[in-house]
Amino acid sequence: MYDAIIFLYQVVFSISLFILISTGLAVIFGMMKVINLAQGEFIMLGAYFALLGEVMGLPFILSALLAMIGVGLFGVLVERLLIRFLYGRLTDTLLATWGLSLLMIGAVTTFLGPQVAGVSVETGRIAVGELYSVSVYNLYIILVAFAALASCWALWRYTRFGMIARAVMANPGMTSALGVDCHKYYMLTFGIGSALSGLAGAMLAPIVGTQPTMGGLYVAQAFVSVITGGELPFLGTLLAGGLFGTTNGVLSYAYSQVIGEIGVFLIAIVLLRFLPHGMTSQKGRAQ
Amino acid sequence: MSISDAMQLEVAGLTSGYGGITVLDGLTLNVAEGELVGILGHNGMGKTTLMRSLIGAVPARAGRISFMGSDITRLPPHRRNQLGLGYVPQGREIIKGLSVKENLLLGQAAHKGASAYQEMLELFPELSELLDRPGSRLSGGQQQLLALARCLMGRPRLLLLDEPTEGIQPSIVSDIGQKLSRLRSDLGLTIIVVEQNLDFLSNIVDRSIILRGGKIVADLRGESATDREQIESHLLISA
Repeated sequence: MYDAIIFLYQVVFSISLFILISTGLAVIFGMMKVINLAQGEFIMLGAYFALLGEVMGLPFILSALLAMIGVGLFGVLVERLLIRFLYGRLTDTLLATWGLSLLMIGAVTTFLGPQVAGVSVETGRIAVGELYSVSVYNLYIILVAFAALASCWALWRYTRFGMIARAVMANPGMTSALGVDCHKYYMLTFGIGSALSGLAGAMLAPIVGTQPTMGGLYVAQAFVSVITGGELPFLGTLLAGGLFGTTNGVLSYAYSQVIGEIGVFLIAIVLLRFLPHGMTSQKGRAQ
Repeated sequence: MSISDAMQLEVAGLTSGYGGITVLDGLTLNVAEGELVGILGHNGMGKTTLMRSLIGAVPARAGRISFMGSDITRLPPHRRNQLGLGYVPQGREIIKGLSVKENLLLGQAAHKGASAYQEMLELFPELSELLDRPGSRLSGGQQQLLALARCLMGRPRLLLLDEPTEGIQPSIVSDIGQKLSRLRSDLGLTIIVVEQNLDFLSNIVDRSIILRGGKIVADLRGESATDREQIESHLLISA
């Protein structure tokens, strides 16, 4: 009985990690079609903002908020100074955001050092039977991951901002001819995607610590989730996160974390072979 | 609705095109407030480019566009729309991921003032039963009505319509013609319609302009504007 609870907890936690690190990219790549190779570094920046919050003596919840706002504003700056000149230019965007990721890693390494620094959160543990216990903080991560994804979906589905943003992403020319300043919506949408990555970084910091190169661990997982998710970015992220999180959770529980990660990428390859446009695509299946 | 003497739209020496190709070549056109102008011409003569240049989707390489006394030549499309230029493009360009209701509300999203939503549902009762339907699941006629209603949600002063009858069944073509006449008489809208359908145009226009090679080769007013023989003879010359 307790074994089953722990197993289920590990799977749900694994799913929530995939969702947490992918939701920002679901906005930036899934909605805006911007291939942001610096997405992992946006997560890294969020972790450092959480560390800054701790140094400033802020409660963790305010540190996480600081990370969201800080990385969100950084994203707005990046969109205004770099990305807005590159919409529709795939290769240029790849190169520019790759350069940005190297710049961010280099800047953080230069000014803050290459060492791993920890962020501490005292939340305690809950006993599960006599043999097991689970971290309360990990339960918060599960809650935050699903809440972030659901909030994003609701923002895009039910608000005036979301309606206009969907129109801008679908047909900027026509939407502009209806009086909408598309640049403003591109900027805000990129900022929201960045803020979500900042939140992910802040939430991950107490588990994995902060390190300039930590973004590299997450960028591939985030892209795999969003690409295999398909054309409905939020539903796709939920489905892909569920599939990959379950795979990773089961294999990690049964074998090791490395086997879990290998399993995720093998499933992604097979999935994209048969569903090249992703799990939520309405387009044709592979022949 | 009487036609004012004041020019609402003044286009002087407009040159525009795509890449290395010049489509409009020094075009000059004045449209008075309240006029309903038909633009005719064979394919590739610059009709759609004229509409796209007026709304700002194709930048002017030379010349000047003035709307209600303001120079709008360098303004982006959203600023032109906010000043009162409404645009219904060829192919309608309904946002497929949005519902009919959302497409309508999008037309007013950037505009302040009282909502035109109820007025549009009264003017286009066909749409009131389709409000929750995705834009991707509409017939061509329904899309055209929605595109027109969406544009009117922003309460434009000048309506630019590009081939509104293309691929539309005759009953809806007739309905669109009646609605345009009503819009002009009730709201005092100025309307410029690019169209190949002479039957449609001859029932509604005050003035017919024929384009060839990116320039105006005939500007027919009064009875001549709806005289099919005259229009066809000019079109034949320009072919």
